[in-house]
Amino acid sequence: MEKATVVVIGGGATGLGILRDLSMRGVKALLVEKNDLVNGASSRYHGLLHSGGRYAVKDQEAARECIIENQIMRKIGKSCVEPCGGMFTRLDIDDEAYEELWVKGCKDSGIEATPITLDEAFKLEPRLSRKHVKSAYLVPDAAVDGFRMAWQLVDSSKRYGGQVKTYTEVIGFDTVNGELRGVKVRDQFTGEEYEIGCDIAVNAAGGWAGFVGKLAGVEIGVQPDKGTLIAFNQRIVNHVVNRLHKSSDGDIFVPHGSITILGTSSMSVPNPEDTSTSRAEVESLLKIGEQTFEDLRDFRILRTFAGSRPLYIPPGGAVGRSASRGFAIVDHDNDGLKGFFTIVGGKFTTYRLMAEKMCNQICAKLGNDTPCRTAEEPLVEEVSQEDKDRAKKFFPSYGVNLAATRLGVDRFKKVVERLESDPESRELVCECENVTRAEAEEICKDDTSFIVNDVRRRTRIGMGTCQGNFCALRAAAVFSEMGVEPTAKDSLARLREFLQGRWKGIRPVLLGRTLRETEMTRAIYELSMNVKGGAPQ
Amino acid sequence: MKPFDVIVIGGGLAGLMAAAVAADNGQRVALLTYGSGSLPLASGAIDFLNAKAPDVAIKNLPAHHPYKKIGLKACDAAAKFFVDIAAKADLPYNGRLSAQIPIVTAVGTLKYSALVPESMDASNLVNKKKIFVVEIKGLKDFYAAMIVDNLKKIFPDKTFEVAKLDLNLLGGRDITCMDAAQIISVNEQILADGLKTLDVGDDDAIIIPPIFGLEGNSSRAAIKSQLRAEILETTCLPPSPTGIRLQRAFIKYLQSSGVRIFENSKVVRGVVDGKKVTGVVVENSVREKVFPARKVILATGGFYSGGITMRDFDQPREPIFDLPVFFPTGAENWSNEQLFSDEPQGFSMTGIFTDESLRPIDESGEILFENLHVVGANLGGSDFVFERSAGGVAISSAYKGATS
Amino acid sequence: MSDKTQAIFTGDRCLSCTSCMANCPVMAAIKDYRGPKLVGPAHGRMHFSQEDIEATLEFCSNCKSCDRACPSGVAVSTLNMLQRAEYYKTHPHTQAEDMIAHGERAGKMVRMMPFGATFANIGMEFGKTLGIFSKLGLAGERDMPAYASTPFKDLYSRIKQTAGGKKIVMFTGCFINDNEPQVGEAFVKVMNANGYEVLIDKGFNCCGSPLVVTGYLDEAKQHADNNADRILEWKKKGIPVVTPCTSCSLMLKEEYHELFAEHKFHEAAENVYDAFEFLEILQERGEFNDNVKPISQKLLYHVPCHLKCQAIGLPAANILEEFGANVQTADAGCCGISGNYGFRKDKYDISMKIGAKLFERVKRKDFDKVISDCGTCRMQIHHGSGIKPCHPIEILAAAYQ
Repeated sequence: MEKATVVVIGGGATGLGILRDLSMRGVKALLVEKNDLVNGASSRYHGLLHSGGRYAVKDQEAARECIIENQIMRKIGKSCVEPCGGMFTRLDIDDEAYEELWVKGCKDSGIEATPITLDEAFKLEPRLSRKHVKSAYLVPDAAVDGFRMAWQLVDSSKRYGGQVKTYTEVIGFDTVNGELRGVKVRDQFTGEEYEIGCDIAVNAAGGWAGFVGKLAGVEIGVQPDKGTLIAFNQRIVNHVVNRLHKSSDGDIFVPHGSITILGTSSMSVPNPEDTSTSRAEVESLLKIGEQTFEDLRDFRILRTFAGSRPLYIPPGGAVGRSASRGFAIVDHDNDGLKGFFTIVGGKFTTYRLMAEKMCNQICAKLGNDTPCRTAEEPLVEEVSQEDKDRAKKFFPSYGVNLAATRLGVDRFKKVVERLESDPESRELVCECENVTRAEAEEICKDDTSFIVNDVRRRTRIGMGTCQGNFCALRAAAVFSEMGVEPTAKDSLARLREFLQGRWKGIRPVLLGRTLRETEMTRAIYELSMNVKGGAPQ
Repeated sequence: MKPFDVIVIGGGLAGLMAAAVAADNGQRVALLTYGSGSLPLASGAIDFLNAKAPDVAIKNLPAHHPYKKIGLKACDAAAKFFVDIAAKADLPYNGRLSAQIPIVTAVGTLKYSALVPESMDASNLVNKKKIFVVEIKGLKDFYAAMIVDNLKKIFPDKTFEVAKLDLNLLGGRDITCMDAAQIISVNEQILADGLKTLDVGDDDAIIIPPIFGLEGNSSRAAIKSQLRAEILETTCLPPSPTGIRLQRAFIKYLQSSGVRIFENSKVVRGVVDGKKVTGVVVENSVREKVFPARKVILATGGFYSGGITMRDFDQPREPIFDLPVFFPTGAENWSNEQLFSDEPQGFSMTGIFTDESLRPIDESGEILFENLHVVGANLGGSDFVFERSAGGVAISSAYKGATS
Repeated sequence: MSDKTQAIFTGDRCLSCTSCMANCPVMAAIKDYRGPKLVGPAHGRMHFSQEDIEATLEFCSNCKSCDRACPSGVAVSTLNMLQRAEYYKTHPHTQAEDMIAHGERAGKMVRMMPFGATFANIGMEFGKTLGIFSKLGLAGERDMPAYASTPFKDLYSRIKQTAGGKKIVMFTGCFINDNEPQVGEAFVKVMNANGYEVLIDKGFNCCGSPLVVTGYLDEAKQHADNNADRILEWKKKGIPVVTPCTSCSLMLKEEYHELFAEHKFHEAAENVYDAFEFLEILQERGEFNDNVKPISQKLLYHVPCHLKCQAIGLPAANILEEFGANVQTADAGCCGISGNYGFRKDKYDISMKIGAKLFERVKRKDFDKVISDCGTCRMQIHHGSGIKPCHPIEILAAAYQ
């Protein structure tokens, strides 16, 4: 039987943070995830590394945590954080009195909020509404790439012996006399069921924490709270732009690599699997968003997506936006199950702190007194300028930094070597996001790549302007050549599944240029390629 | 400017066809285009309907379907006219409306069309012993192994071989099928010599990406004459040489028949006198220009080409004449859960309804303009992708519109 | 039209459809250029990594075939030119680039010397023979445009204008001023015949087109500011600005606004007309003087790319046809020279390859005369086919008694 000291359940930011922390403290840890990594709220969010400004009035403890973790993440996560800075703007319709409270709140929480003139604001953000914006402040917000950070956490964990199994679903727990002995899992592709022995299991399943708890026979108050977001085709903003008012829907714009994300809404849903988005949600986000950016509807929408925040509901607690964004650690020893912990709630920005606190408790149980070092050691080494220069010879320079930060030192080196030795590997599989064939092949070979969508999350294939129109065929072909059995060979199924994944986010925004792009998708893949197969009847 | 007999708005397949038909009837024609049209994105094969015998199936369509307004007679005439135009540019097409011809696609499925470029006609594949799928070093977008994997599912008893030729394409940007076709059009022999190295028998077939040049059939003919096996081109990702050949064939015909083509000419509205359109207004960077006409053919396409636009939900517009646009209302009717669905997509049914002369009508069926004809993808009432009728509706409506 | 036509707004409209690539003459000629879509629009999306430059950007000739191919109204070539300007912020210009971008400056210097034009022409002849051009990075195969003995602006003062009353200002353009003043004379004759006195504003600069394509964007902006301010002055007086050079008219009417994203350029543009565009408007108003000798010539018309962009139809063809000319469009694509592009040594072959189809067409010689509204197109056709074209306004001028 496979064994680990600690099994971490859930491949979101929290779970991966715990995996890394434990591994760095020398604890043998294994993470299981029923889907691909960061498939829940850890990537289905706006990609904002909070300065804490958003919580400066309502929850100053959270605000303080944010600014501290923000600074730590900038230091340890250079390859996944874009230090674009943030701006808070108050509109004419917003409460002026709140502005005063907010300024004071920032000061009290240790968040530097610098007032700027409107002229400066419009210079920094030319698309802001000149009609509505009345005051502006700069804060140290940043953008963070949830996908990139996840795999960098994995890379870091692996260096210390951590293990990851994706598409491995927890189906039960092995307990003897109220003491945990192991976790029962199922391989999602082969259907094989087996047990992983362990002393401790951590339920870090986010929105799914309640389900996992049920499998162990414990009750966990977690309320999935769905947030819908809109991804725009370009960078509309240069900074994170927040509305300076009481936190509400649709009031944050985050520049995120080549795109902009507008979010979010807040809606309690029974099931965290519900990542559906609707036309009505889109309309409501746009309506709010265009108060800050009047021309918002003229910008191309790529797609929508949604994720569920796992809000922790203590018995009798509030739900929705008024529920606490704080987190909770539950030792189920008190429920009569020794060796089982749940960590739930919190926010992406403070995932590291949450992991640290969780690991402190676990290590105390294990008698391990190694201190936490996750705040000091960078997630990954930085790719050398020399390697970047080598790469620049072969593919568009504006893709090099992106690829370097996506891939990390070792994989990037391998990719560059491939580019140097095989000219055919230099072709771009994805022209919108600049992904070379060499990079696609490298990720296809990875042991967490089972379908093309897994390759997408790692490389950004299919996440740009054409939403898969050109890269779907290329990616499916490369995957069928390089990927793992049994999924890789069925290239048509992989191709359709990949485009269907894009379609899910496109449907609710099927208007304007998004609609045009879809007409192209159908012309290529239905008319020219007949990807459904079959002959006329 | 002297009025044109006919002004055609739109340079896609429908617009080119309408201009050609009108010119062929001796009319003085202007073609106003904005963008290069969608033919460079298309396979060049003309689908009429997803049925064994499209002509029979057309008869059974519901009354609101564009084909019902066009009529089978115009479909037949259009097909004949189309094949003639292509032939004039040395671009042979096979097929008829009563049957379907298979084409090998870039993913290794078969697609079926009524009119097919001879170079893609895979009717005889079924009789071949061995099939070589040839990829070319440095040519992007053609994955022989994947094509073979999928073709094997259709032809489980055949022998397949993947071959790879080096035609010296590497050393520059990514090479698309179009680039390779361009290179081969000036040096056919490199491809002929490459193919000759394959151990191919008379009963075998060779499948290659569509790289037989960008104009007519001369590159193919030069290569074909040196080999005994049948060589078939597949479809490909855009830009598509087989679509470009068709586009160039039409443009050549239009130029030789005196049609004036005005590029980059965005028509913003019509000049209207009661129920008559007397001209169209083109907007440029600073002012407007009127192109007077006795008859106008609106071939501006559907959503893809901007013939119909939709900035806000449930408000599709025909932006030039502000014609009434038929569309399914509400999010639930707008699209299906599956992209590759078993039902037509609502959004794709959006378009303009017409009378039998393809003149736009309103809800009550009243004709809005007597000398305006709507052709191609901006016609409403059916999902041309789902029912595989995009090319057929384009050419037959163009024919009908130009002759009405 | 709104400010949404400014290039920076248009990149977002790109659907990645590849129409621009399918219609790019440079891509068809060489394998090195990655193509319009992957330069301008792609860079636009990736502008957060400013330090990086697309290496093959230099191959874009700014012929604007991509703009015309685009079904979405993306100002692809202008986005490319904006990227090029970024590139030159951190990279020095070569001597050849400096020369070809500053034709106006060279022209002025030549005119300051006695017999300057003669000496300059002899010098260029020597330069070509001795291979000096080639060493400078210029196309040694090509004749540099020869300086006319008297520039148009001087010639102009000697022309006795017959018309009174209505006035236009002529934007001469460098090429007509320095190299082909006879086109300017023809222009004045035609405008006079139509009742317009032609004024010259010596305060105008070069339109800036050669500066833009060579990456001197700041200088081009200075030209644009100056020219636009002057055009607006004329606008206030109700006097239109008209130019017989299609690249100048495109620059003044469209590219300033696209490039520099200021509303004043749009306002100025409203007062600018291409020569035949202006004449056709007169014709439509019934103000055109049709006392014209029948033109019985068969004319082969190479429509310049920069005219095709303007969406003004083919006014020269329409007017000449009206008076009996048999005008056939060459339909052979871009001539390849694209302003100063074909004068660069490293772009000469590309430029000739692009023009080959047109040269072939011209060499068929099934016409009396080749016409084209663009000065560098005319040079390229002459160079590639040995047949010297003229400006359509010269044909019309000759037809006025």
